[in-house]
Amino acid sequence: MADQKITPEKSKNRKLNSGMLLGIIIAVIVLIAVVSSFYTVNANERAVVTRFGRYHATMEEGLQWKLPFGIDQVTKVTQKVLSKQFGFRTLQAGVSTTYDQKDYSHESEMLTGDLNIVDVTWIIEYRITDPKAWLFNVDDRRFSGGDRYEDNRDKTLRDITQSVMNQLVGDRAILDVMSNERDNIEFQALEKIQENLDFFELGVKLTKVRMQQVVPPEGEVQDAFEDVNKATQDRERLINEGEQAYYAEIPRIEGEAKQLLAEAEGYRQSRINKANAEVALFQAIYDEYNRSPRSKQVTRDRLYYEMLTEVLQKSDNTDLIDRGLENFLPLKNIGTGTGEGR
Amino acid sequence: MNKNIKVFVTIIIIVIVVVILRPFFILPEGEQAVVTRFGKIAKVHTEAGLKLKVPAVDQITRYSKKILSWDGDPQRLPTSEQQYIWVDTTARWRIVDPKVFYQRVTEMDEAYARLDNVIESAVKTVVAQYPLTESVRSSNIILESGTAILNFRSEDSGNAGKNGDGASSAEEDSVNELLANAFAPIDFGREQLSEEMIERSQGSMPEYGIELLDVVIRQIRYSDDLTQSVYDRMISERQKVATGFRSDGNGRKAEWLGMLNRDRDIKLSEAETQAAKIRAEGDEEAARIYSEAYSADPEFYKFWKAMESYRKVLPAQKKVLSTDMEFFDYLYESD
Repeated sequence: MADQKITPEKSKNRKLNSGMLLGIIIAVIVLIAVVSSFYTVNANERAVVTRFGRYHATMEEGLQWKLPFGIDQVTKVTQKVLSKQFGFRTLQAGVSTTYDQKDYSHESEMLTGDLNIVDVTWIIEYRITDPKAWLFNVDDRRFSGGDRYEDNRDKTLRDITQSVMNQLVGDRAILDVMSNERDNIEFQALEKIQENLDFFELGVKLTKVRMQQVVPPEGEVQDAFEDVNKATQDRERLINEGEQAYYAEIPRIEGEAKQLLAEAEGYRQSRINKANAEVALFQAIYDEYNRSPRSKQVTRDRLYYEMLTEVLQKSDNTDLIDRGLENFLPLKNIGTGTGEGR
Repeated sequence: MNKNIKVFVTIIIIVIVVVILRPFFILPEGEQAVVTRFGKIAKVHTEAGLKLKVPAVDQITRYSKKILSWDGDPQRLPTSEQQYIWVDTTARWRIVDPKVFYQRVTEMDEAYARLDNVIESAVKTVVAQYPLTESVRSSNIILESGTAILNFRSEDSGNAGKNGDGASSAEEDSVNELLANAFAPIDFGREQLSEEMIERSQGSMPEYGIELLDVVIRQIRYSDDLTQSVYDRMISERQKVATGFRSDGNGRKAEWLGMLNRDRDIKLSEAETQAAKIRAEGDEEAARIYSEAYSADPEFYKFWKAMESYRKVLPAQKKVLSTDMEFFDYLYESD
C-alpha cells in the first residue's frame, strides 16, 4: 500500500524534476550571465566596450553593465598621468631612488648644431585622453628587447619624442642647449611631439617635456667644461683681488692727501695768524709812536731801554769798560750795533 | 514536457553547430581580414564586427589595421664629406590595401624585410648626398646665437694654429674642415631630408599595399674615430675658453693694480701740489700783511725789529760793554 502510494507520487516527482532541472539550468545560466554582466570602472580609468569585436562605447567610472558570454568585451584604460624617461630609468622610486646603471646613450647622446656631442636626459608626461584611439589606432604588440611593461605603442611614443628632441638639439649650439635654450627646447618639443601624436591619432595629450640633465660627454670632455667653470671663478677671484688691492689702498691715500691739504691749510692759517699777531703788536706800538714827534722819541727810547734792560738782566757776566780808559781794546763792541739801531 | 525537451535539444544542437562549424567570426577593432575561398580572395573585411563565412571552406587571414612601426638597426653611413656617422631611423607604416598585401607580401616578416631594403637604401642615398650639417640641423637659427659664433671664431683660430704646425695628418685636416664648416648655412635640413627619404621609399609601397607615414632620424652619432676627434676639439676649445677667462682675470687684476698706482700717484701729487700752493698762499698772505703794516714807516720798523732781534740774540752772547754807549750817558752826569 505504502509502495503503491509512493510510486505514483514518485513519477509525479520525476515529471516535476525534469521540468525543474531545465528551470534550474536556465536559472543558473541567467544568474551567471547577470553576475558576469556587471563590472566596475574606477575613477582613475575608462572602460572601452567592444561588441562582437567592434567598438561600442566608452564607459565612465561606476558600476556598469555589458552583454555576457564574450559578446561585449571590456578593456580598461588608465587615466593616470603617465611618464617616460629618456637616457635613464628609475628602478625603484622612493625616498632614495635607485637608477638603472645600464647605458642609455642610444637615447641621450646627441649631436648639437655646432657638431659637438651632448648628453641629454629628459622626461615626458602624458595622459590618455582618447581611450578608443589609444587602443585601436597604433600597434600595441609586445616586442623583444624593450623595457618592461612597454609595447609597440610606447615605443612609437618614444621614437617620436626622441626624434623631435634630437632635431631640436641638433639645431642649436651646445652652450645654448646647456643654458638659455632649455626652456625653448622644452616648449617646442611639447608642440612638435603633440603634432606628431595627433597625426598618428595616438589619443594622447602630452602635458610636459622636461629636460633633466644636459651635460657634455663624461670624462675628459666634461672635465674641460668643468675647468671653464673653474676658470670663470678664477677670473672673478683675480678681479676681486685687484679690486680689493685698489680699495685697500686708495681710500687711505685719499685720507693722506686730505691730511696734506689740511696740514697745509693749517700752515697757511698759522702764518697769517702769526703775521697778524706780530703786525698787531707792531701796529699798537706804532700807533703810540706815531701820535706826535715827542711820542716818537719817547717810544723809541722806551723800547731801547727796555731791550737793554732785558738783555743785561739776563746776562750775569758782562764786563763794563770806562770810556776814559784809553788803551783798552775791547774784544767785542756792541756799541756799534746799538748805534745802528738808533 | 516533451515540447520543452525538444526546444532544449534544438538549442543545444544549434549551439554545437555554431561552435563546431563557426559560420561566424569576430573581427576586432584594429584588425582587417582577407577571406580566401579555394585560394581565391572572396572578401576583404576592414570594419570590425561579427562577420559571416562559409564554414570549413573560407580561410581567414588577419592583418593589423593599426599604425605599425619599423625600426632599423643604426647604420654606419658616409656623408657627402666622406665622414662616417651612425644613423638610426624609424618609420611608421600601415597596411592600407589588405588584398594587395595578401597577394604580394602575405607575411608580416616579409613586409619588414621589404621595408628594411627600401628604407635603408633610401636613408643611405639621402645621407650620402648631403653634408653632415644638413642631417643634423633643421634651420639656420644657430647662426643667430652669440655663443655659437664665439665658438666658431675660436675654432677657426685653432685650426690656423694647427695647420701652421704642420703636424696634423691629412685625415685630421679633413675632420677639422668638416667641423669648421659647422656654421655654414644649410639649405635643406633634417626635416627635408626626412621628406626625401619618404619620397624615395614611397615609390614601391603601393605595390605592397603599404602606406609609409613617416621616416624620421631618431639619432645621429659620430663613428668612433670621428667621436674622438670631436672630443679632442671640444676639449681644446674649452681649454681655450678657460685660458681666456684666466688671462682676462689676470689682465683685469693688472688693470686694477695699474689704476691703483696711477690713482695713488695722482692723488698724492695733486695733494702735495695743492698743499704747496696753500702754504705759499699763507706765506704770501703773511708777507702782504707784514709789508702792508710795516711799509707805513720803514725806518721805525727797522728800529723795532732791531730791538726784537737784540732781545733774542744778545742775552746768550758774552759781552764787554763800553760806558761810551748812550745807555751809560747818565752814569757820569745826571742831566
